Amino acid sequence: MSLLIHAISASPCDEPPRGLAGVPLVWVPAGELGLWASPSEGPLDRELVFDHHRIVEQLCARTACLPVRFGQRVEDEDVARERLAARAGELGATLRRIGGRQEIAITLLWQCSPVIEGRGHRVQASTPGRRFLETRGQAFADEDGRRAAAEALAERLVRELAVDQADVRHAICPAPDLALSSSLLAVPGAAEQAKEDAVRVTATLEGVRAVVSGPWPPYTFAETA
Amino acid sequence: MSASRADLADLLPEKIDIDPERVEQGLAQLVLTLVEFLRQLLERQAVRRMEGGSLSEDEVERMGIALMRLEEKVEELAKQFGLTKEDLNLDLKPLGKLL
Repeated sequence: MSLLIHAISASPCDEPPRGLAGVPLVWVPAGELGLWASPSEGPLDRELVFDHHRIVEQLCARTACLPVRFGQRVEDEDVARERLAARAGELGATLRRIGGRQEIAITLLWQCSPVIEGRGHRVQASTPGRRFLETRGQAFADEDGRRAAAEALAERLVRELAVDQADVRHAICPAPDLALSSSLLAVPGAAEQAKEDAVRVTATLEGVRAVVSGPWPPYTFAETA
Repeated sequence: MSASRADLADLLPEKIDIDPERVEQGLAQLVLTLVEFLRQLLERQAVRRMEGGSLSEDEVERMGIALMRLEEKVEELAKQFGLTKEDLNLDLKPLGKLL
């Protein structure tokens, strides 16, 4: 029976939550670590995503865990144990660093596109070859302008929120409408305060609209899992 | 070095898909992605040289036409293999997308 992995932990917890579709969770120990999983066959559909997230949140609330993003499925317990053991050192170190912590997500959407001064001239060429390159030059200037502005926003967030560089992850211009997608790892017990601070600081940023969400299990910082 | 190998192993599929119906498309996708990557590099370089004034009018025109045709050709080949522009990319996981 395949297993869908939810989280990695150092020890099992008392009264673990129910697994997918209400079945008991499976605890697979491997050395100093172990993982929580649910028996899972068939397609990985939308409903399972929400159920997986519920399980991860409840596990993280009970014990220090590395949350695992949805979709990590292994053939059986032996394979799960083997994979966990192969990366035990790295996973153990990540668990010690982020276990018990939560992350806050900040998304900044462009309200207007910035441009770099001195670049981004109007396309004026009358011949097709030059027109092609001028059009591309315009597009590159726009792209560079957006990227530079997004990087400046990221730096400002880190500075004004006074977060450690190791506790923040940025995706600069991850999509055409997005300036920044950032995740902040909150100090244990201070996630709500971190969220309030993020809302306050992002409200002062110009040219973007901010969406602050969380606290979430620290998925972004457990990426090695 | 061993850590790098482990990271790389995580990026690679555990089994190679040798479905004869798809192997041709998979190969085309990989080759066209690399061509597209080089094409975009050339485009950036051409624009930089044009804006820097190091190309004559004739060179700008010829380079622009060549890059335009190359783009059309990549799109045409991608279409023949049932690929979209979004397919011509590689997810390098920790490093993000190639393009």
